[in-house]
Amino acid sequence: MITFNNLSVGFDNHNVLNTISGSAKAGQLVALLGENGAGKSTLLHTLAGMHSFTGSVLFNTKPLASHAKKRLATQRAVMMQANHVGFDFTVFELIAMGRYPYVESLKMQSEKVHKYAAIMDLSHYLTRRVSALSGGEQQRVHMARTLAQLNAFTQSAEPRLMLLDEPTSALDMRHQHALLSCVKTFVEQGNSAIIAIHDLNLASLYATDAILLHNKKVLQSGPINTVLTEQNLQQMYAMKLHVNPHPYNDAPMVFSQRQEFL
Amino acid sequence: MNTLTLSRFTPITLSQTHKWMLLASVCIFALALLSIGYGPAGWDWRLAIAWLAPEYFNQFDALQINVVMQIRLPRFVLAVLVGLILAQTGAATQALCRNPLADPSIIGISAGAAMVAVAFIALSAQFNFNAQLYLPYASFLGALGVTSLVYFIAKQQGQINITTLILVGVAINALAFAIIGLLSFFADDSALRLINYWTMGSLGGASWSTIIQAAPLLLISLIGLWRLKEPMNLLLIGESQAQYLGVDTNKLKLYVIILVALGVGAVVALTGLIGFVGLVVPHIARLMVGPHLRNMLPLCMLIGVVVLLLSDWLARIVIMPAELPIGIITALLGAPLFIYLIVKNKRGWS
Repeated sequence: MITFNNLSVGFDNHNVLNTISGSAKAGQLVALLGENGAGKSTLLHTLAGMHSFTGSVLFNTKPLASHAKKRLATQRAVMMQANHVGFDFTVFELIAMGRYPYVESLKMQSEKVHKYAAIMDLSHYLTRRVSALSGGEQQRVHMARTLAQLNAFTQSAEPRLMLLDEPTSALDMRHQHALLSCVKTFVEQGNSAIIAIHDLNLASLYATDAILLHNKKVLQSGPINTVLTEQNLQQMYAMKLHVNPHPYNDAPMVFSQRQEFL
Repeated sequence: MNTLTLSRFTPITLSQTHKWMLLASVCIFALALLSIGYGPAGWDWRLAIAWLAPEYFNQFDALQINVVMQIRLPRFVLAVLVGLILAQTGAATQALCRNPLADPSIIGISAGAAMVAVAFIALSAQFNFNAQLYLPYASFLGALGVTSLVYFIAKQQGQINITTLILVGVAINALAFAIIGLLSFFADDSALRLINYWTMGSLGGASWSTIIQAAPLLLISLIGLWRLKEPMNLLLIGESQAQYLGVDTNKLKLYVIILVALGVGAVVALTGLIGFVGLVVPHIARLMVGPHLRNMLPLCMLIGVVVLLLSDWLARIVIMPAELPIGIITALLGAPLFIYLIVKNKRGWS
């Protein structure tokens, strides 16, 4: 779906990503893990086409820039963090913006908005102004817009890609799991997703693969069960960590331990 | 979720928008009677319709009908066009800058257009050419230059800085007025009167010939911006977001800059500087139906017409039988609101 090779990105002569490579294929939910400032957001923005870079980014085997913009928008959606909207739209209007790349009647658009709002548990918020919602609720609105943009959970000949930057950061536990299980189902229908996320255990429960970013490089990547090891994580976070199997699910769980303030 | 009950739901803003638009249309109709029926040549609301079929209105003489057709009607048509354009270019500038405080008169676009227009008039006396003929096109170039300049100065690392935007506007306004003042020393008497009228704004110079001259610019701006309202709406949630949704934002911004300059340039050439309409009117429309341009833009344009007709009528009656420049009325209404918006948005500045 999306493949990047020898990707380097820098701002003001300051290297943020240094010759990194990786990919997300159909059926893969890739967790992008790393410390604050490890370059997770920069990688997502670059894969979305926002930053200039050296190396290559291929989306469906063609360079990113060679795709027609409107068509690309139906195959690839991006949800960024800190999505502040200066103008006070309603929830309905904001989700409906995801339908911009499609030619459809307002009635059809309205049905789609209701469908994706319901998935994100927003049916009762549609006429509310976004500014009146909490941070977590706003995050769900942007996720519903992302789903609407990709026409998620419908038959499609071509695979679609989601790039999500910390989509669960403001959500309560129930909505964290609701969002990630939604993404997982989307991926299992032949699509793929790359998610930057800090919660290692959530990543472990839902992701198929992981990319560990450390010191501007990829520390390790592969199936998430093999990547989430004590050795890798202790090197990445420079702290004591333990990895134990989940009691009910087949997933490694990461435990930190109490530290003394120096 | 039960989709059957959900599909009966329709977004509330749609009917709300239609209600407000109906109200604005009623106001426009009433103001049309007032503006066409009222004047020094006689005040009778029936004058507003008499010109359509003079044979049924024996109480009016041919001179009165002629005054309506050659003076009041073009003035009314001009007010409608200027109202539509100023409201729409204001909303478009705010989308371009993603900030509700941006307005062509505040960030210097109108002053830039007026400066070039005045230079054109002053030079026409020196070089003996017909300034009136090319005036809309000259002031379009002035508006285009200033819009591009302001936009690129205020843009830092892909973000529009509103503080810089307004400061650049202050500087350009000051510079433009200084140059207009300077040029007025080189102008002859008739040009001087024209220049005076430029800096305050007036619909008094309306005639069919000037309207027809500027019509291509006005119509291109009106239709062009109208057709861009869906992608412009996405700009409101951020440039990168709009790009991810499939908008070619570089192309869009270029089109918006050119179309705003076309509209503002032509309006300034016709009426001079009428400030704050592009700030006040979109603000009122947003309060009524929210920021979505599909609802907001048509209502905003109708309110623009209401504000222009009302201000022009006030300008005509306040110091009867003389006329006040309309720019004074709109500034008196708009400037306090601008200050209020700055105070309200102070914390939102970045």
